[in-house]
Parts: sequence; C-alpha cells; structure tokens
Amino acid sequence: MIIKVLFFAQLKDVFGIGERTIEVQQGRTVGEFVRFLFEETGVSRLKELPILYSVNEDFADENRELKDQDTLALLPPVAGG
Amino acid sequence: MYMTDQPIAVEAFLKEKPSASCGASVHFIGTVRNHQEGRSVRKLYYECYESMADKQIAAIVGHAKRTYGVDRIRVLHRVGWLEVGDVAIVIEASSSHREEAFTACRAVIEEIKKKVPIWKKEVYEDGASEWVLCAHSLEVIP
Repeated sequence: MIIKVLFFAQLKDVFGIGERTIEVQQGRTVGEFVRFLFEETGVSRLKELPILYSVNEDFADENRELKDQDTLALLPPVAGG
Repeated sequence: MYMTDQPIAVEAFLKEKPSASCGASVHFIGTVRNHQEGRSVRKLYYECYESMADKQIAAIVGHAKRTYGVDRIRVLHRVGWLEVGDVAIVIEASSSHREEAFTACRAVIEEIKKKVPIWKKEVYEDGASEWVLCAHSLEVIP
C-alpha cells in the first residue's frame, strides 16, 4: 500500500524534503513505520526532539495502523501563537 | 481559513463589530519581539501544516465557545517571514459579559500554543537561526 509522509520544520531540514510518497507493508503501525523510515534514510533521531504524529490531519499515536492512501505527518513540538 | 501569509490588518480586524447582545470584546494581539532567552531576534519564520492547523483551530474555537458560552471567537494567524513588531496573531472573543470573554480569549491562545501545527524559526542578530522548542508545546507530548 502507498502512504504520503509530510515533514515539517526541523524534520524537513534533516530529511531534506517536505513530502514523500512511500510504499508500506500492510498492517504497519505508525511507530513501526517511523522507526523504519529513520533506519532507511540514515537520519538520526534527536533525543531532545520529541515527535507527534497525525494521520489524515488528526493526532495519532504510535499504535495506529496505517491504511492505504493515508497521509502521515511527523510533527516536531509546535511553536505558534 | 485561520491562517494568512499576508500582513494582518489589525484595524480592520478590530472594526468588525460583534452582535448587539455582546457587551464585551476581548482582543489578543501577538507581535514579534526582539529578544528570546537573552538573544537578539532580527526576524522569524512561521511554517504551518495549514489544513491541519485550520482544523485544530476550528476545534479549539468550537470548544471554547461551548465551554465559556461566548457569542463569537475569531482567530487569524500569520505565516511566512515576519519582522520584529509585526503582528503574528489576533484573537477576538465576544460575549454578553467581560468575564467569559477574557477567559475564552486566554484559553484560545494557550491552546493554540500547545496544539496547532505551527513552527517558528528565529533568525538572530548574529545571523544564526534555529527552530524554537517551546516548553508549553512539550506538555502535550505523551
């Protein structure tokens, strides 16, 4: 199945891209996929940078199972307002 | 809907009157300050995940209206490059009486700071720049 992954702020900088379309194994959770993504790209996960996730614009936790055509966003700590 | 990449016209925002049943309008105007934790800030960049940010702000506004019983809440947040002194956000909460309007306005800005996918990169006088990690946004990390 195919999902779209969005990167913002610090994560856009370290991944060098704002958006990627990636083929994912059926049944993968957000947490499993994100671990795979960091390993596959060789990007180091910064301890001081906790990441939240959203799937299709709603916050999601690591146990959320990804579905075909989902949009997963990796969200660094926010700083608006 | 709640985000703009254009300078915020504060006067025009303030001119929009609430309904005749409202006896109080509280406005919050957030501007870019020239310092952060001892460093001189020259300008900053707001990035957002616009579709999700709109959705989150709509949920925050809806929740605040229900919780505090206010008549109207408006929010406009700027994104892109901002200079020191530029307006970053304006909020209006209007209600029959001042107490609910004050409380709702405060609640909305606090929730926006914690939950809306907007990020801020500061550029300092020495030319260095970095993405800001706010303590309040880390509160929601599970």
